Amino acid sequence: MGSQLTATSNNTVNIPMSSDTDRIKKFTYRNNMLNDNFYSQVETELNNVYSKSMELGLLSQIDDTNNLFRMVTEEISKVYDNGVTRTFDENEIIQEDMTTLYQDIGLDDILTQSNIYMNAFNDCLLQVGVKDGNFTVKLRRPDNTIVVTNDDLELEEVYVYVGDNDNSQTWYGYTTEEMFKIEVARAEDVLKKDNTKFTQDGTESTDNKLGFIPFVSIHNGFRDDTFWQMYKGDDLVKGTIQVAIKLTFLNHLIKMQSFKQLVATGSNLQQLDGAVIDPQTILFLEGQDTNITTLDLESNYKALWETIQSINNNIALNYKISPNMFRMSGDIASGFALKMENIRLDGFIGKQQIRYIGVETRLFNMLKSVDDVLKLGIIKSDKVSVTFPINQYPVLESDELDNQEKEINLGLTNAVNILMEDKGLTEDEAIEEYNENIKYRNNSNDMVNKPTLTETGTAEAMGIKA
Amino acid sequence: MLGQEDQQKEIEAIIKTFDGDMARIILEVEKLMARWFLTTNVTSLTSLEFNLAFEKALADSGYYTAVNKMVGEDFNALFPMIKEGLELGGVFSTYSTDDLARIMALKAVEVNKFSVLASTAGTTLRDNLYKYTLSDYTIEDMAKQIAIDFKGTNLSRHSTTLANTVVGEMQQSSLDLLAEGLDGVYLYVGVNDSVTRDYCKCILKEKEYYNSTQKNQVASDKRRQYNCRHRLRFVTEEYAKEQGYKKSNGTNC
Repeated sequence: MGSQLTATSNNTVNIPMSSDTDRIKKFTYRNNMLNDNFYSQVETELNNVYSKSMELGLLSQIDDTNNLFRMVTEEISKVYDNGVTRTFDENEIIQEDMTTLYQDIGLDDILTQSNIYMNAFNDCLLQVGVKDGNFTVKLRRPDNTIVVTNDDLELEEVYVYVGDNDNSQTWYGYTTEEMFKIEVARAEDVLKKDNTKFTQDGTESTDNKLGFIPFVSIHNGFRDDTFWQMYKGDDLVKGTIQVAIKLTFLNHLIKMQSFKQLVATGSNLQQLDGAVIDPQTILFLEGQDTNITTLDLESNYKALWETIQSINNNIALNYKISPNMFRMSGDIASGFALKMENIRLDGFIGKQQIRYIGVETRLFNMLKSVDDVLKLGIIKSDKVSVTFPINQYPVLESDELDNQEKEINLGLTNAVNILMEDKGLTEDEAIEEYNENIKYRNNSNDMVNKPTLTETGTAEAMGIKA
Repeated sequence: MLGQEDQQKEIEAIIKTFDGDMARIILEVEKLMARWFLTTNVTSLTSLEFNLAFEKALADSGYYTAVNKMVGEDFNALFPMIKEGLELGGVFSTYSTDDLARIMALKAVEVNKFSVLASTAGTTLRDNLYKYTLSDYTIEDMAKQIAIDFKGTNLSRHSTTLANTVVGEMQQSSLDLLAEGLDGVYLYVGVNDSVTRDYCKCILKEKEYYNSTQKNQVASDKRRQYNCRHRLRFVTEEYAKEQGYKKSNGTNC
């Protein structure tokens, strides 16, 4: 379900934030950009920066194929890339039941997407619900949610856009006492106190049986003065539009790259013969101090292309991403080199993972609270402990073997320990496998040095009992 | 004659199998050598260990296994045929346990020839590689050149020729062991076609039978050293005369 609100503005990014409607407008644009739908934003900005864009035919050459916003957002949203370990209970059955519950709800996918939303929009919410006796968890974004908070920025009211209904918008509202539906003409009418409250679809009353608001908020930083962070990320949005505009100009210039423009100068020009140009035509220019030269636009093309590359690299570095992300080359980094290339990004993701340990804990507590109040009996454990594995980088097998050999020589480890780690063996199993491997190795060494011939077959063929 | 054609067919089958194995082995060795260059820091020092890596590559590719199979197992098919051939010539004999020991020793000697072939190739390649490291070749150039040098070694070019010679020697020796201490003479037997050596053509044309001394002279003549398809077969003198052979006074070939 996406936002159906349309936004009209002469600038799709620098929208004055004076109301929820303005915020919704701005983040609708961002959500569209995240979904590769930002052609109109480029068109608007192109008209802003170059009034002749229509006459030059630039609007029909808009290049929105380089979605920096989406690429960077996805690149930095890697909290769940290597999976997650959730420990609910020592009891294996409870652990398995809770793991299955999370799988059934689809929480890994939802939380992975929430990470993308958090980085794209700075904030989002997880809404916990119950349908047919089972939990549901939905994601809410700044472009389809309105909140009212207290001085401590705790949620007091939450309104979620559900859809359009003829000439009105449908919103679901949540307070600690009520859960209801309202129909309003515009987003700015949502918080009006005189809105008529209806029951939500599938419910019989507007009472909130939970007694609390079933939402978990996710923020990409500390919030002390506002629930929604409305400006962070504007640099990436603007950069994406600027790159698209420059690529559009590039599309325009490329047509002229293989050609040159003739420039004829003189004090008293009379006639320029041979106006239909082909390589075999000789131009004659009559007049005083005449000169014919050519303009070459190739250098403009190169300069523009380098500018675009520079914008890409600067944005990548600002977001702690290696510029190699934008380059396809035959050089593949591995192991330590790759680790160094991604060290800043890894640090950033590490911090996000710490944040998400808190999100997971709050989500679990919310599920448990709902379960307790509604007496569903689904949540079997009392707590969850969440860990994220450390990012691993592929190491060349030869490097790995070299390192192991050095560690063995320095007495830091031994072949049995390595077998135990690599193959998950017990010590006894590893010793047995090690001895077996050594035996086969020695046998093959024997074959190199002393080819063995068996007598039995020869004797039998010669008719001798050996 | 005397089952020689059947024995020759069997030998050709053994050699064909070995040849097929060697083709595969050589490809595998080339791959393993290329891998060595990719995974080794090739310096003038490490180049001196190349022959060890080469021998290991041969072992890993199954070279010694193929040799052992040919000499130790495949050749065994010839023993009953040799005995039968002898009987066709009027000679009845059986192998003894002493013969077994001598055959096993012979087999070990023949197998060792292949080991020498391998170590010679390894040493040559090692020495060449050492020179390349001192000549500032790039790793790529060294790898390419060593691959070319490998193709020029006797191991790569002549291992099947050696196999032919080895099997021929073992067959003759097995024949001789069975005939040892018995009364009889020797006939030079084998195919006479467009690729038969002039020496062998001459001997065959003479159609003479030999005593032990003469037989050894013919057997050791250098003109029949490689890939000779002819054998000196032990028969009774009576059989030799019946087949139209006359007593030799020393060959004129």
